Amino acid sequence: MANSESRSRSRKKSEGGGGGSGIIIFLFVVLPASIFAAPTALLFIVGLIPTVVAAIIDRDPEKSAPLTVGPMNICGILPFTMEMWRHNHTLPTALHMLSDPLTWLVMYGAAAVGWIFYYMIPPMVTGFEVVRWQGRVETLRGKKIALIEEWGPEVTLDDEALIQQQQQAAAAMAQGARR
Amino acid sequence: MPSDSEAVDAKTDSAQEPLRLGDRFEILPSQAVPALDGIAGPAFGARSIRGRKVECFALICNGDIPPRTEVPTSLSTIDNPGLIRFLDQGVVPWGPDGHRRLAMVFERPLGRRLRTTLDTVLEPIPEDQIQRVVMQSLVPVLKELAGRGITHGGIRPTNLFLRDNNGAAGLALGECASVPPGIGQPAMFEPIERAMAEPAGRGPGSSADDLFAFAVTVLFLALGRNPAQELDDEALLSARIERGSYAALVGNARLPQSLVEPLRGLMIDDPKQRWGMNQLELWLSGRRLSPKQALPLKKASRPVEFAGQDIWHCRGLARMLVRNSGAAALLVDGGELDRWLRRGLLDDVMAEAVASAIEGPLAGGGKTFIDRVVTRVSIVLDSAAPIRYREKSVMPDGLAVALADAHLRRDGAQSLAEILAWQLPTFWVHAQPEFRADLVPVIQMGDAMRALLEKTGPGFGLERVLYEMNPYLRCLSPTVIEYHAITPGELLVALELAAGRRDRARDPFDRHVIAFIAARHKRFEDGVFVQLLTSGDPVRAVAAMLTILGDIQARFTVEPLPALCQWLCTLIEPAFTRFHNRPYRDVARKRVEKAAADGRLVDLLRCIDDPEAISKDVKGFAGARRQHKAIVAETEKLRGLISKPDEATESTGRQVAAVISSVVGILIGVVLGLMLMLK
Repeated sequence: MANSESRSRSRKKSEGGGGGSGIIIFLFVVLPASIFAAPTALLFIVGLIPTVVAAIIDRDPEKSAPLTVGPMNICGILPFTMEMWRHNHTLPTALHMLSDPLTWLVMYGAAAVGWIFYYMIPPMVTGFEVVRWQGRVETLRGKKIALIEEWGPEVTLDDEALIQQQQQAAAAMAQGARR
Repeated sequence: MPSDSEAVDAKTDSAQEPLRLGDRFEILPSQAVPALDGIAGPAFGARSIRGRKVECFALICNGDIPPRTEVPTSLSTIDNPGLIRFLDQGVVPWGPDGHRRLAMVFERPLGRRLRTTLDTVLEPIPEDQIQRVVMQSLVPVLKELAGRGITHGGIRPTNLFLRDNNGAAGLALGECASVPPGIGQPAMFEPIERAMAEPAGRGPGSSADDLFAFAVTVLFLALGRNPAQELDDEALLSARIERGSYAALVGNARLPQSLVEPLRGLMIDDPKQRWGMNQLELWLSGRRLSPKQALPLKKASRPVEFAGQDIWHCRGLARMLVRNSGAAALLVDGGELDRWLRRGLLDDVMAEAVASAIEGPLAGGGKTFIDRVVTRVSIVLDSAAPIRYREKSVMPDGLAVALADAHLRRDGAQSLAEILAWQLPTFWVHAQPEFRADLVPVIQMGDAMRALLEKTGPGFGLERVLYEMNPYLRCLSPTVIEYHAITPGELLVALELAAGRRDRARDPFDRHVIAFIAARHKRFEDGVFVQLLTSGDPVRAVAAMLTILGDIQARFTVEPLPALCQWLCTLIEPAFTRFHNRPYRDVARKRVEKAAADGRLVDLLRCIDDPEAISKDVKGFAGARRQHKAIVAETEKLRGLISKPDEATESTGRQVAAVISSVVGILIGVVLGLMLMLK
């Protein structure tokens, strides 16, 4: 219950702040970059399309898909960007790179690796967690047995059952005493 | 009642080795002396172990009759040749399984018993010998006993001994220490009022009663036979009531003229007119007194017909009423008794007293209503007579011994309890024609005992009354009755002996044991005793037991009691279950076993009633329950997660994927950056 509440709260937060941060990013990062580093911006705008798609299709308020795909997608863009920075940082160079299918393959292939991460890692985490939980259950079972051995089965009773059991035991003892 | 010479169930199967009685005497179980057997039990040889040349014998009390343990201390200081001298008493092991008996050591008479039974006819003792030998021997001792306020209560021909082989040295009275006064006396040796009471209910008596018994004994010896041999006790009593004791006993027999005067004087039925010690001494010194005539009972002008008999006086009517309580109720209820008292006996005062006596029981009602009415009416009609209630007939000051006797014989105790419960002793005292200061304790005792009877819990009721009224009575619990425990310390020793028996009871405490302790060891509040049997909580019961017994052991410095401790250990098991902690239970068990082996009851109590350990256990148990609850909750949660793992890990898994992706991306970025810089 508490978990779902916090989740919805974070969802609202991300929804509420999503528009604002986008505008800020656009005004202070994308717009200046488009003006002062148009070739790089062009490469990134085209190259980051998988990440943008991931952000659009991901219903998770935490936006884990773009967060997973994005870093790998950037890794796929970076070599071309760096190549451009090193030799000729111009729009024709950028367009030339974009005309090469290898560039597209590398950029979108890296994004695909991000998607692989996105789909493969959560089941692995689940499997790991299940094994951990089962271990914990066994430990608790051992503790429970030790408690019962030390304090008797009455340690498992709730208040009402304990009182009832004590009354029955007292009655049985009194009967035995009378005999 | 067994006679003196009949061996009373001589239990001589004990070890034949001499038994030490304190540090003064040895009893010789191998040397039975049937000739000296007493009412209380058989006689055995005894000897002094301090080198003092004194011939002695020991009476081993069977315990069937309550002993007279309060008087021997006084008797031991009497050194009169006219009385067999009491030397010592104590409890000795006797019989199987460590059974114990009260033993009394007396100086052994050199001569034989004067009469072995009351039924044999022997040559009458001449007049001059009676005066010279019998009276001169016995009157001084009677005087000394009277001076010390001791009633002999057993003066009769079969309890007289020759001081030497031929009787020249005179006679000696037999012992009077082993049984209460009057308990072994045939009714003919008792004044009419005491003769009407059952032997155990005659009360302590007085020196006047001894003088009466002395007179009948002298009459017996002077005639050489039982003067009332042809009459049974009832017929003789009726004759004595009708004609007076002297006339009824002497009858037509010819008595030496010189004995008529003292015997008539000593056998007067009215205690006020009866000769006392002074008159007897005056007569012995030669002064002749005019023979007294006994005043006849007040006779009615017409008889009252009851149970087919014409009755002329109150005493006779009172006797008949209690024997036919059904018919008595009709007589009282129909007004016939009132008419007879007013018109026949011309005694309006008594008629009013009878009417008043009837009013009391009306308030109580119940099954005993008729019995109470009849008893109260009989007391009014004959105020000197004993309290006669149902089958019981006891003097108010004889209730204590009667109650003990009834318990020992397991018969009639309930009737005696009802006598106390219905305050009949107080009524008896108020019915006396004159105020008697000596009867005030009877009222006090009656009130106190009634209060105890009204409470029915352990430590109260009839058993408590029994031990309160008989301060020297041994504990009559079936568990320890054979071990003769008179003090709480002795009770512990008795329980230790009983603990070794295979047929021991489950529980060392029963109503008798509790009442005995409550009466003899007044250190505990009543609530402690209530816990013993009625709390329904065996742990509290056993803790109360150990508290009481431990205190007794400490105060009476009783030696270690390992067998009793082991016995109590069998009851302690529920006490371990009060501890939830299993390992501590084992620890407590080991401690208890060690304490039991040491025989210290207080240590045993500490093992099961340790407040610190109990508190620790309670806190620990509460903590364990909380812990268990948390474990159950966590386990349930984990099981829920395991059954649907995706729901719980979906978000986490994506976050992990994002983190891994970010880390890998950063690493690749760094590597590319470095490569760019290096180029």
